[in-house]
Amino acid sequence: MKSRIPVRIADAGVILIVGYFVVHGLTHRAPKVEKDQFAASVDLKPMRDLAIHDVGRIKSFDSYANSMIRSIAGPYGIEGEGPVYAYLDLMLNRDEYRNRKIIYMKKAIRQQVARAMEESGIPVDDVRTFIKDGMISEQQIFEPKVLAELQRMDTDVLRTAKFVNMVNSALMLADPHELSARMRVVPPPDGDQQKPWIAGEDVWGLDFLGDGHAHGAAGPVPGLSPELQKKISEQWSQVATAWKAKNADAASQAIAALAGSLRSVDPTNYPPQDKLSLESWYFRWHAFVWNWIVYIIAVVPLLLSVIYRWRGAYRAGILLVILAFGIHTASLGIRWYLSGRIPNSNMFEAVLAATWFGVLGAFFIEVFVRKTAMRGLFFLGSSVCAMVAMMCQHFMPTTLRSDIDNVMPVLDDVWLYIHTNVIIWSYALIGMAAITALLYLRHRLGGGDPTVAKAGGAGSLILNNAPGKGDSFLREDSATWGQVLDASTMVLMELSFVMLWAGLVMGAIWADHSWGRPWGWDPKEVFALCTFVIFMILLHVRFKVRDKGFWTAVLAVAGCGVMLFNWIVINFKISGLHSYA
Amino acid sequence: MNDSATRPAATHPRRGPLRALLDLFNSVWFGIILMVLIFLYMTVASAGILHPLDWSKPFGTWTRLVVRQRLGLTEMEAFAWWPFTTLLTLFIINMCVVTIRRIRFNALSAGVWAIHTGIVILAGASVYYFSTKMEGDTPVFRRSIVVEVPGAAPERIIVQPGAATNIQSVAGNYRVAIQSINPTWPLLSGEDAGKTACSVNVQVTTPSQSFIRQMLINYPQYTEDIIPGQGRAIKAVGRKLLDEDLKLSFAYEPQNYFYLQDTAALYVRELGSSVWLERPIEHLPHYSNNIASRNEIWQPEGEPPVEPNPLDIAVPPTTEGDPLADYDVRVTGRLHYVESLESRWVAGGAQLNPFLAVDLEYDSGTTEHVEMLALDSNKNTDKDGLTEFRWVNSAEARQDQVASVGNSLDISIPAENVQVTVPVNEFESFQQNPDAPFLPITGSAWTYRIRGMARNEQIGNAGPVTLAVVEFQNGAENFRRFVFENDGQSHDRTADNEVHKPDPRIVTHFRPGPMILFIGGPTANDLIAVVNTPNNQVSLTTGKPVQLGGGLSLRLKAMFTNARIENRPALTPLRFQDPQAGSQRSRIKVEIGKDGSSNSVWLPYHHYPLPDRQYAGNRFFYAPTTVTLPGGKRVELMYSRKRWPLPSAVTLEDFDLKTHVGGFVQGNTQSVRDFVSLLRSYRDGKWSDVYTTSLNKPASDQGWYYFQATWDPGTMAYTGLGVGNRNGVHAQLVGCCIAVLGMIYVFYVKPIIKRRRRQAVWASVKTQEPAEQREAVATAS
Repeated sequence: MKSRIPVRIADAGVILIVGYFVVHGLTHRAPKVEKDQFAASVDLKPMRDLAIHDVGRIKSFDSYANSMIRSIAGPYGIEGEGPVYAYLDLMLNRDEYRNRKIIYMKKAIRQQVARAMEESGIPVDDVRTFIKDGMISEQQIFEPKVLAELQRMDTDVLRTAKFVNMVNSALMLADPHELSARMRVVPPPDGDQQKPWIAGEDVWGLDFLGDGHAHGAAGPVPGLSPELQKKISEQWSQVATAWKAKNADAASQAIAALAGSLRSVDPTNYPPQDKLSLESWYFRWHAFVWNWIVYIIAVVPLLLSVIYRWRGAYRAGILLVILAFGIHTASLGIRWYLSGRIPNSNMFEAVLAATWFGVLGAFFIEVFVRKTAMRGLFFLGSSVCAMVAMMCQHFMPTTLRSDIDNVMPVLDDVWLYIHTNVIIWSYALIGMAAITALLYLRHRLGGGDPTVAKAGGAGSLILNNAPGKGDSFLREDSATWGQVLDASTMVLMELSFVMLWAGLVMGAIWADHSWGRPWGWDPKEVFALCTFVIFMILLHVRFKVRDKGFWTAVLAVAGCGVMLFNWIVINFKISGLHSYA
Repeated sequence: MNDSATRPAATHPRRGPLRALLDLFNSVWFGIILMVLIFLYMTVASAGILHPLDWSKPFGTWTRLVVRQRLGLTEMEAFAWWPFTTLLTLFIINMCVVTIRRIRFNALSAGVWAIHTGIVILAGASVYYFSTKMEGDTPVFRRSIVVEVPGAAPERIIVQPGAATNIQSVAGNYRVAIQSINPTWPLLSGEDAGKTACSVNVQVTTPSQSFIRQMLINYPQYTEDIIPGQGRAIKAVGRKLLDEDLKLSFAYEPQNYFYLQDTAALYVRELGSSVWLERPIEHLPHYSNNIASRNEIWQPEGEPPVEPNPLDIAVPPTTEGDPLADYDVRVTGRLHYVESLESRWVAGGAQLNPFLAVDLEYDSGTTEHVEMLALDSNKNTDKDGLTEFRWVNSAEARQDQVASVGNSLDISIPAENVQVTVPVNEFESFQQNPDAPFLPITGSAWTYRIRGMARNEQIGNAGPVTLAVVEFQNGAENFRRFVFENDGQSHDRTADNEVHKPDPRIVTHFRPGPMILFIGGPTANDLIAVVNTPNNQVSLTTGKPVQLGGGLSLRLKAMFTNARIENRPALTPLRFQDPQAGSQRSRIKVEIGKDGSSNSVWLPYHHYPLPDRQYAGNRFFYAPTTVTLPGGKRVELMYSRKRWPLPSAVTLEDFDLKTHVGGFVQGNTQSVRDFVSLLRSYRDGKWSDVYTTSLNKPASDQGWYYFQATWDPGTMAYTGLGVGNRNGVHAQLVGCCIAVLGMIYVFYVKPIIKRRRRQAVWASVKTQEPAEQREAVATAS
């Protein structure tokens, strides 16, 4: 009898990995410092919902501050404080942060920096914490040995310079002058939307920084009435004074008054309050990346439904998938509304949209297969893909940044809607096919039957409704596990085969009129084609080999591996013409 | 018992080689193997081979071996290389044979036929496409300005900041220079109010006056002069133009060529000419370093040496009037990533010229490189006198030199007739040793201690100064003296930090000397370093660090007795090389020979062979190399890319930057919505109507496509057009569409046909026995 130990080990491994991430995701929080009374009670809502001009976009101050603080302090933010509080406090009380860990370093350079920290006499516990969370203080960075190490790594263009640049950029952004100069919260008084918004410091001056220099009052702002400028200046001065004095009531009042005055500069063209509030709310809800928890909860009844054929579990699974998909759709919809463009033009959005298409596709397919033994498998596959994708977004927020930015000009084309969506939809289907293929391999590893879907995947869907019950081999009462899993893989694989090819052709059409050539052997193109070649091999191998199910599953997983390589390694490590996607 | 012994021998019909070949191509397995090989080839050719940087740490940093670059192939070349084209050819043949011989041509198989036919059409069209593909790019400038001065020939200057010309006329010298360009100058008055135009400010210096002429492209009526300090001429003197005789007018700047990607060419012209003549360089490697000898270049330390692997590519003339037509021009070397041409000292000179190179390494991790020439009074010291190199001809002379090392402070107390000289140790400071004891001044009640010294430090606004700080004590009396190298600046400070003139009871004089004195000679093996005091002598071995204390160590890099200087290209260390740089930092070595003598020169890469420096502005590299040939003939050479004529000359009428809300944010393309070039072509003896090209919307001219590639973010003085042909793309598209239709047919139409057939069979066999039914249905499937 075949040993089942390897299967048990594999099952345990999957459960442990998923369990780790679940526990980690639910329990891991930023190292939080006890909030003082001021931080807890100051009302920042009016500030959060202010509009700010940031590189070609008008966004909510909360959204902007979230992006800035993440660029400085990485995934955890600054001591667990909200981004708006952190931004203002960093600008107004910078000296208090010199010795606080507010700068984030990526893992790639932590070991070298940690060694320099140790040599500088920084306590071992501090160094250990740094290795774990990457947070370091400005004072520690400016230790001569740490600084020398960073300077050394800055010269290594191939390996470390990029990460040192991120540290330099974080230090630059954390400078109060920089924070102040970027705070473009005053709309052009003449309503000209092609003009940049005015930085607050140009209205109220720089004296609030208290940096030891006498800056004097700001000069007159063209188009802004001197009375309004004076009023705004005084209100900002009250904000700064109350903030430094940690007087929450006074600060709250001054912030509310300032927000009102800023709106009154150009009330006609000021962005709608609802939209700004929605943007702030969207980011306060972490761009809904926690939705992976809903998906993982859906996976449990779906698994039970698939394995044990429990109707109750199937229904519960559907309800949970509908809930998760609803949140998923809301997330995409809100991004679309806020950005004013289709949300698939950066990595975060591509991951989100691809898995949304996957789940949408699962709904369609499940309609066809509702009376077959494949029922539930497509929901399961798509939920697992969506769960994994959102876990990546959750656990790698500095890599998959959720900021809403303008689309790159070269991408601003109708083909962004067509080519990109078809390609990422095919990627989602490839991911789902890999899930059913892995289930098949697990089934075979556990000594399961080597049966396969003889009529082919897509064909089997249609044949199910043929007259005469005898020709539907995927009936719940007679289909074997091997047949069901193999058929599911083939359904998904065939769909992705067509869509990937169509997507490649559409991409070539776009490239032809964008770059002047339909095909340039760019790494991204090549690996999309490689994925397709894997599926070409799969289809022909399936014709020829005896153990069709096994080789189909192996090649479906390999195809997914090449697709992921294309999406991750090619995008992040090997640049090419598609480096922005 | 052997089976074969009992069975009659099998009688296989003998297969001829043609039949065997046909059988091979008739095999699906052969096709699968070919697909696997194609997959592997594409993977390695595109991504290379990923591997850990350090194999002992498999989870550490990974790196990538770019195989195609090792083979000297670009992406396009790697996928046009014979191994890959052979694989594709075999695969297409295999697919055709299998399709024709094994797949029936009927309704059920129509999908597979369509897929295979589509792929064959795609492959055929791709052969045509890639074999005729030409692509490149070119800058198209917005305008030049024609300068007309009475009594002189008209001249043109390109509209680029900094471009200038001097014109000598009968009235005197005129200088006209482009001062600034504002591509979005708002028109505030007249019927054009509210529009924007490209404004060019031209700095004009005539024999009698200087002014700025402001010109607006396409709005000559708004041209006016501005007098520095007085404003618009119309307001200052009552007329718009100060010098009516000076005529400045805009002219198109046609572009006739584009420059082909991944190619190389040598451009030559006689010195003084503005027209480059092209000599294509065929088969120049793209990535490698090719040298005849390691002595040709400076290699970075710690990197594997470049192995000699010279080139010998003849570069014959292709156009008439080539100034080097009588010379043999060859490319004999190429370097991929060069920092610069550097002059360094090497051994082997004819005369005694002792040279020393050392590194001063600080504990903080910083290193200072020091080079000195003992016999050159301008170069025998470094680091502001901190180090000095002397050469001696005898052991006795060396001892004399040893005594002169270090800083010393002369202290004299006239009242007590005391005079002493004490060393000032540069390594020590009060901060390091705050409890240092006071030392006696023999013959006096005064004691002293050195608090520190500064060498060439910027203190206040007084410029770099050198001084020692010494503390004197006598009983309860205590003060510090700042003893400057220049005695006039010396002063005392009391414990309360009050400043006084130097106390006349104690006279001091500070004599800074080298902190580290290197003494070489009399032989090449004799080198010592005397550090701070005569007693502290160290001998040096090349490459071995010596600790000097105070967080400083010394490493001898090289010493040559007969040094001579050499100028060679210095390779950039690998870790500094930008992988995205392409050929931008490459150089080629060109040898120009005639009658047994030759000149050789390393030429840097230029993205475009621009006519002169003024076109380069701040965006393009421009450094042609002048070579003086035997006989005194002087030519200019430039290494760039091959050029190809555009179907018709193209000029830039205007450039429109479309931005998101808030306008363009310098350095951030996310504030940009689109780049639009408004172009004209010169056809049938006149300029065409304006046509545009922008992102994702190319323009075409006689089969060539122009697409928006780059732009000039500062002044929008030019646009960068991508240029390419696209023969066969429609056939490629037809092939792709046939294939995709075939896929849909195979996966989603064929099962319907099969179902209908099955339904028909079911209808006809309803009355049969179950076993017969099953057989009939199986047949129908």
